[in-house]
Amino acid sequence: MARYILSRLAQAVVVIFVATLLLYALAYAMPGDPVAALAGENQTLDAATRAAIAAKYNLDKPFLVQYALYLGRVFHGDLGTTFAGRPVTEVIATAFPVTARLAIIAIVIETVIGVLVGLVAGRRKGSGFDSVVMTVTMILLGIPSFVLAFAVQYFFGVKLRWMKPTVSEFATWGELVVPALVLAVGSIAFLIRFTRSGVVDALNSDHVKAARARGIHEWRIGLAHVLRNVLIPIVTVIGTEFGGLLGGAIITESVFNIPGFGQQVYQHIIRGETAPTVSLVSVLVIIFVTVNLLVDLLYAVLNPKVRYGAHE
Amino acid sequence: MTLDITNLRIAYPHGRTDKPAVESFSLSVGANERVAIVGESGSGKSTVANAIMGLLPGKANVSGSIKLDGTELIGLPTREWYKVRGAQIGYVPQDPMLSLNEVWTIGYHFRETISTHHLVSREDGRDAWRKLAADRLREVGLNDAERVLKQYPHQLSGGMRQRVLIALALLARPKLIIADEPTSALDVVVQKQILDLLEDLTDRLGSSLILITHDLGLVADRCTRVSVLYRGDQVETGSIDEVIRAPKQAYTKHLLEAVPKLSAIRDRKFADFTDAEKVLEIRHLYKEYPLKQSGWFFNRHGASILQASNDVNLTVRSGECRALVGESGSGKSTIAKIVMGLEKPTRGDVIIQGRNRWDIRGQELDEQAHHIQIVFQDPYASLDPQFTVQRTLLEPFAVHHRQWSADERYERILHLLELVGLDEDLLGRYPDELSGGQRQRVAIARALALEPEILVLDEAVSALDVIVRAQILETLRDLRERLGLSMLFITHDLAVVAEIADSVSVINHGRIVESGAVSDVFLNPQDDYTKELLASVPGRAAF
Repeated sequence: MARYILSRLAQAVVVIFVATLLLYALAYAMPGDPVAALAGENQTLDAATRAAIAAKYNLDKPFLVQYALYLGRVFHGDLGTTFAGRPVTEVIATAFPVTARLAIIAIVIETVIGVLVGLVAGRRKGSGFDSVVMTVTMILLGIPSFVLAFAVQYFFGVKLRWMKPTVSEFATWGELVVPALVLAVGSIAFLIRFTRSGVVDALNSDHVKAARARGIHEWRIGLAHVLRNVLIPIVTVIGTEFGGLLGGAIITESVFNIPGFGQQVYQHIIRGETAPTVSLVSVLVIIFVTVNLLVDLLYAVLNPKVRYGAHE
Repeated sequence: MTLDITNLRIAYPHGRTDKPAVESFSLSVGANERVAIVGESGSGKSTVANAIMGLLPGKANVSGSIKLDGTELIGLPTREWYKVRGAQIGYVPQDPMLSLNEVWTIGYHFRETISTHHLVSREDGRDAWRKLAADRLREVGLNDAERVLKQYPHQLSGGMRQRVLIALALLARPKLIIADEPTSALDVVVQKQILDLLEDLTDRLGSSLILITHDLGLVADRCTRVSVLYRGDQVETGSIDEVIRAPKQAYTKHLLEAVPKLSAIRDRKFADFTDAEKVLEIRHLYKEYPLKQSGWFFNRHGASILQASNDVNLTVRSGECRALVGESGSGKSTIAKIVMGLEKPTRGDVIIQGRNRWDIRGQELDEQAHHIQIVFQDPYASLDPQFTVQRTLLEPFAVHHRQWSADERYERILHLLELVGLDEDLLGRYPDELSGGQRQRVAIARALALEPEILVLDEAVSALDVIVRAQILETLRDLRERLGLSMLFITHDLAVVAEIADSVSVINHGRIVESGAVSDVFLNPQDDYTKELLASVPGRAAF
């Protein structure tokens, strides 16, 4: 087990390095002149100033050298500064807790609703409840999240006035519930369907039949032999869906004007601030990799075949 | 204990046909009696078992009567069923690999069942269940009981898992045990051990046993009475001696004839192949698999080695059917893969038509397909579900006979269908619209498409029901005669070998332990392992 954890950790470190390298390469390959962008619009620079700026930001060096220098600064805790002169670390420090709140609410809602509804629908396969769930989830999967975000904002925020259309600058837990729900809708629908089919398969499995034949009570079968087994793939799905959640946060945060990470990334991208964008997205990569690392560990805890190695 | 089933009828509202799954089924089982329910797949034998345990799907319409010690089980409320299942009726499932929950330890399975049926009381102490579970594991021959309790299902072999499942079924000492094909997923030797164990334990505990199987040979020397099912109808019922010695119904006779028998070697004529040309020769073949071990980034190879083939020598002569017999894990399928060029041997030669398989490169490799072809065990897995029969059969020509016109190709597949005994109107069907036997015929036809001289059959009849198996064997015999095919017939079933093969090689742990003419090896086995295999063939005494 210790070996498994260490090997997963080592893999995670490699993935993070490769991801930042790719991000840096993408930013490097982006069209446009970073020096001109730095100087702002309608500015013409003379060659000497250009060279000075390029040298200052290491823009005159080869790509790999730039990347190495960037990494060196990162290891010293310097993630660069935005055009507005704010250190990127400070941007992260203020935006991160907001997005963390949003993501935590979204994940909790997703897991609770997804697993519960999926479990009940799977147990009552073919019932009216099951049909409704299947139809509704199909519709929800078909709606793009920005459409849903605008629709919710307009109907509940503007028309019915049940909520404020946008979130305050503090982005409290309470204010974030509706945006989190909107953010998680796709994942919820997917998780419901995923859980349902897992439950249906498990209920038809030989080991459940054997347990029933031993006289094990139906509620115990539901918990110990169905839900417990289905949890293994569910954990993996939640980890993968988390990536989608981070991507979706960029849209949701913009619509509801949430001062979070996604919005910062979005704004830095449209302003063409490459270095801060790379730093911010790298943080997202690290979060995603960390979450999936946790998922892998949880997977091993849940699945004895991983813990003890399948002998074949 | 008495179980009385009268006029049982089970129907599904939206079944494929209007015919009920089971109709007018009657059977009574007395105390300490062993009764067999025999039938092919789809005969309704498992449906009867599920009805006795109240495990039919809710939509099933059940009528008639199933009385256990006078209590009517049909329509029993759910709450009451908990007092029947596991307590009065124990169940031994078909596939031990799938019938334990792999996320829980063996101990958990016991603990759960023990607490469900209140088999230990609180006063016995917290670990009383463990003691009981360990005792019961020893009872089924798992002497390292304490360790087994801590293990997960995937850490045990199939035979051990089936022992665990038997111990679980007998935990509350039920008076009736239902075993549904309890050994069809196991090897011959293990099969015999498990059946012996079931017989011995039910005898000792005074429980009755209902043994459900498709193989009359399996029950012939173990049960007292038998009920034969065919498509939901009870065709014949009576004492096993009567039914086997003097079957009244044509179907029963048919079923009996279909059981492969060791005694077949006495009635067969064997041709002499000693002077025939060698079409396939395996010389000093070694295959080693490095076992994986997880490393920091990649799995490390070669830390330890699995010897799948160890100095294997084997010859198939022109027109001969050579059987390669062994249990699962013996390395027999590895040899099939190497012969087909799907795996590379570590050392050794595979000589096909005078040339070493591994010296042939490039274009010439295509020609190999005209020499040797293979039929696999599971036709459902080896046929593409998206291909119609026609497309499956045409595929080889798209690679090998591109100059052929569409008419020529079609004519050729009609000939193939005729060879394997299939109708032209099956050409438009998909694999899941075919029966198991038809599917395997399609797989054989595909293997014959390029007119190979050698056919490798890797457990090609093992997944089939008795009657279908007999028919496919007949087709193979016919093909040998008409096409002069040579065969490498890989199987675990010695009775089938007795029916079809001329010579046999017995493989154990990657090593050929005995080799020779079928009549010599079977009538006068030299190696202990061969003797054990022969002793394990079910139905020896009866046939």
